Amino acid sequence: MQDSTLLEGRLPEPPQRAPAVTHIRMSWQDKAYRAVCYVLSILWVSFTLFPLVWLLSSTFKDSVDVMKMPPDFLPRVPSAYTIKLDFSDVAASDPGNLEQVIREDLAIAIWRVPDYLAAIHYGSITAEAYVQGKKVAEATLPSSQYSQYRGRIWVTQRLSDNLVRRDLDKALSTARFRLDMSGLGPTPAGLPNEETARIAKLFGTEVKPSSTLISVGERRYFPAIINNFISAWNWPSRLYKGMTFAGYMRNGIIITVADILLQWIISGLAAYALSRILTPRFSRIWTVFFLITMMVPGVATLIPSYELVGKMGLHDKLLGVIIPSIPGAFTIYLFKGFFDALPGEIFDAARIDGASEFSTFFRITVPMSRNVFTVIGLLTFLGSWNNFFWPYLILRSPKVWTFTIAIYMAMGGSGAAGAQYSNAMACAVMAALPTVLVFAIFSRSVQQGLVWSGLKG
Amino acid sequence: MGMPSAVPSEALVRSQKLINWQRLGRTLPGIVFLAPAVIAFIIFRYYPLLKGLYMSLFRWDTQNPPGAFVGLNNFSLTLSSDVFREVFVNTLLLYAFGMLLGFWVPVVQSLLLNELRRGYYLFRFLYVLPVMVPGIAFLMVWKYIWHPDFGLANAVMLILHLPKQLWLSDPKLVKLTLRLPSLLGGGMSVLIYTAAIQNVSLEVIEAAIMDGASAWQRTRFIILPNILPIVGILFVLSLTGSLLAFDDVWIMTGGGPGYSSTTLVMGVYQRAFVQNQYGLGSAWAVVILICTLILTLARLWTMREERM
Repeated sequence: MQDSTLLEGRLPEPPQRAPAVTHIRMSWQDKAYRAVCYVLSILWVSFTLFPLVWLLSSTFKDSVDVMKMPPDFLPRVPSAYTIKLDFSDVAASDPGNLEQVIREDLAIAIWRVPDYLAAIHYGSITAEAYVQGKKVAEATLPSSQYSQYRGRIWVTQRLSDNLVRRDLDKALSTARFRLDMSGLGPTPAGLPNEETARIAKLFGTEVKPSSTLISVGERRYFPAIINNFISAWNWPSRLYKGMTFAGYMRNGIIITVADILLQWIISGLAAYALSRILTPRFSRIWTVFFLITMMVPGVATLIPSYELVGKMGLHDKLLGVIIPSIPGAFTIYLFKGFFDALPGEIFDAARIDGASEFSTFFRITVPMSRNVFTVIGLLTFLGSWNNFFWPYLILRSPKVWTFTIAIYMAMGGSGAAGAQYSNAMACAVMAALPTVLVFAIFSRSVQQGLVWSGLKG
Repeated sequence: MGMPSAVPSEALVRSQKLINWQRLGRTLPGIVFLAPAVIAFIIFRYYPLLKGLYMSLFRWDTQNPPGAFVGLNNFSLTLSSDVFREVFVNTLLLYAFGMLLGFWVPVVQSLLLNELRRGYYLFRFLYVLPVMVPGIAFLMVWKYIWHPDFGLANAVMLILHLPKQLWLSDPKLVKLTLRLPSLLGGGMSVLIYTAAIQNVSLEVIEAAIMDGASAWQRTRFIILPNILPIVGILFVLSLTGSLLAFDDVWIMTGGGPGYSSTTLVMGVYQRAFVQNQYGLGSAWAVVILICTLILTLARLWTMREERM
């Protein structure tokens, strides 16, 4: 079946449906059976897709909701809180220090409230300073900034007003802070409502600014729903300065593209030689030489390969992942099967015309084999892009990780403790986008390739 | 006889020379085309394979290789150790659970799919979609689902009024938990089986309809027997990889708790890269290699039988 078509070099057609039998009236049993099939299929498809749906849903939950029990099925719309503080008393008693006090109090308000009320669902917190009804300053801290910098500025369990005062510049540099002492604003109004009473309660008890609280406001703030993606995008900078998740994607792309090109060129040339240049006897010997390695599992060569890559000085380098994956017995097998089936007259004609083997390969064979090149490219893409173990072994420092390692590390390695699920899941969604895109574009070739490789093992 | 066969004629010599030139002209590109792959295979396949066999005979000293020659001692150590036995059983159990829970699922899914008039391609696409998502994303979401404190699994248990479980942290439950997701099916196998179903001859099915076979009977007595060979092939193929479980288990549990989900490959990893015992690790690897080779050869042998 599949094997024979492959050896004849034809690409097996992707599964196409046989025409349905429609010219016979269905009995009621058949109708019932079909209905059962529909129901079961729908159920089963939803089960199969459920982990994906759950992944997406959890990605939009904040770090508190993600650990809620029992979990919500859908993420909530985040809230934006506004805390209004009155500095009139300070302005009257200590005008020389007003600016400094405003800076301190706003920093305290935006950092301590989310820190204290870890269970509050917020998208951003804004603190506003008023002097005699005039808004003079405001500071805004989105939750993505909070989760990114909280552990870097202060590594304590719980913040205090004094800690915030000590690292005031850092605290304000991560927030959007504006200070403008000129002009008149409207008199702020509004009473603390039920939702925000908890925040109001904090002031004077746990959070003690020099100013007095006017009001706490809350509104739905939908754009903050992507905050997980923002903090996930930025979290690698904790491990390596200036690194974003894009850096890990880039490392993955470099490895994948290099793998694909090397498979195309090296395996392609080798397969062409086996198929079209060597005498049958030599071709058979070398084919066996290549294909017999398919029987050897990777673990059998794991330790010496690791040592060898070390000796080549490629530990912690992307090349250390790329070079050992050059030998691709399976790709040679697929290429050879395809080249074998190309009509031989073309090659004879090219030879008579005096074309060199190189130009025969690049100008005749490659254009004729676009299909097999695509399939092999896609199979290599899927393999390299999702590869975990070998990169994990070779790429130890955060600078050179691929995204698979980064996600694994964001999850806290193998342990369950210290897992930043919301970060890790947002990373996973971002990493899945390229594959889903490729699948959508090359659906037909991918399905062909999967059927092939599935039956080869 | 009287033929001057020992002394070839001048013409023959010349033609042979000509042929040799032609041959060289064709052999040279052959060598050039083949060389990169051959070198890569020698360096990254054959050399490590032999080196691994060699290492397994030593108490390998990474600073000062090769270290003390210990003969087959590493192997007797491996085969007599309780850890190896436990890990071997773990690996087999993980494979068995995976097969029992998951192997039949894509077969049934494809058979159900085949009856659909509308939405067939959509459903097939949806079944295959999970293949496209990086494995790590899936493993992560499952790890999240199994979390004892805030995972979905325990939320479901709560709704059903069943006791909470530790899932991946429970040494008794961990292997089953790891393989439960295979019940969801989908993936590449669905694609292969649907392809196989479409190769079932339409005439046979139409004849069955003429004879009054119901849809269920057609599925049970015509389509299913026709795809059984492919089911068999996939089963035999899966055997070859049965001892090689690593990535998913490592990401989900790291082999724990204790050794309760450590697989053979993980054992090699731990010997070599955690305990720094390269020789012992190589011995483990060689044992896995031999078992896998036996399975592979058995597979090739049975498949050859089938073809004949």
